[in-house]
Amino acid sequence: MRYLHGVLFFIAGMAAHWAWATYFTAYGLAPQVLLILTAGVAAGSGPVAGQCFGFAWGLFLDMTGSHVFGANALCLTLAAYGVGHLRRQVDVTSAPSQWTLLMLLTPAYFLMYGLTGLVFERHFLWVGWLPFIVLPIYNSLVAPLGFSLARKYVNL
Amino acid sequence: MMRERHGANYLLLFFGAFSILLLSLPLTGRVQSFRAYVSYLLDPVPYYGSQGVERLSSLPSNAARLIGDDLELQRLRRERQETALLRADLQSLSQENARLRADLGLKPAGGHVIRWARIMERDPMHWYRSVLVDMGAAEGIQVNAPVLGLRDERLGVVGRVIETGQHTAKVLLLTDESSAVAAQLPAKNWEGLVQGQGTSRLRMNYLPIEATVQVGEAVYTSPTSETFPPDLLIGTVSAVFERDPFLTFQSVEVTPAVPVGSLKEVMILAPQRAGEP
Repeated sequence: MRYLHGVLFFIAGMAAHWAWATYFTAYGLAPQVLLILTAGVAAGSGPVAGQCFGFAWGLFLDMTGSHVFGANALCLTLAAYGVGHLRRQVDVTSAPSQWTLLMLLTPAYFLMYGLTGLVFERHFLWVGWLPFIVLPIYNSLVAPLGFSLARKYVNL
Repeated sequence: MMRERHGANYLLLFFGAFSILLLSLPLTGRVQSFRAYVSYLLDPVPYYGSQGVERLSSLPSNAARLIGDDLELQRLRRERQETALLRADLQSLSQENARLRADLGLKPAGGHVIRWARIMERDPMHWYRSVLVDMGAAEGIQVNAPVLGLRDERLGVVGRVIETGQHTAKVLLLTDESSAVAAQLPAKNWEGLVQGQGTSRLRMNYLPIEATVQVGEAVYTSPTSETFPPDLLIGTVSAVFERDPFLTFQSVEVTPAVPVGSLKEVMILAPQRAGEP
């Protein structure tokens, strides 16, 4: 049953990301739902589950994007690995720590994505200053909701 | 805990290597195949999502249309009740007409049954010549059956059936060069023959030389027509040609009442069969 919950959560995550990015953007910005949920799964169920979800969601993001195929999969896998190990050292269950985590994780994700582009596409895949500044705040505001959903529905 | 750490490390190595493989082989056939496979698996999420959103967003307009249709339905029901009375009147008049004809020794008038048919095919090469409709011999359609069209709630002549299949019929349009129908200008009962020109206009020939015809006058089928019932609108006079001193008649141009190019469905007057109301 828990695996079925996991599959449903995986599909629901993609649908939520797509719906938010398509219909509910503010000034062209939407929170990175899949990054938040990957971090939430890794914080709740550990790095193994987090990496599995992160890699698959990353492929979904790569599929919808037009740049290097595999970059989002790699970045989300690394994010899940990092958060999964960090949960042993840092408390990631409280809202302030989740805010802080996403405030740091989001720029790190952007930089990692840009560097992947630099290596494999020969130019830095820069997301732009507005997303780089605003999205960490936006993601961190949404993070407590994402983390609580991940803890509730994913128990692998 | 150690087991989880080892598992996470191995998984990171595996996913990392796989991602780097995908990244470093961006254009190879295998990566393209894998991408297509991922698309096949994950595309349904945005696809069905957008369909769902579209259906939800069309709910208000559908609801408004439903209310409008309901009002229309109520109006049509009222009209149908009124029509029942008219039909009873018509039936009694028709019986009276048949009785009187029998008393006078006249040939009984042929009854018609109305069949609505949809235009199935219109060949651009024969735009003003013929159309194919979706009713045929099985529905009681016969060769030479009059075909009418509706325009602005007025009936007008469209043509006649020239071929019938089991469930199809070919209609020769009035605009075809080989079409002709006996017609009259009812103001002074001038009779003539309306003929097709192969264009969107018709020509009414054989009008008496002394006839005075005005542009805009309506042209109707004549009671002398073998095919068409009398007093059906054919069109309106759009031009009066100059009189030719070498001809014993004059001609006018007629614009058809029903533009055949925009027809979607037609009314065919099929002969009444025994037992049909």
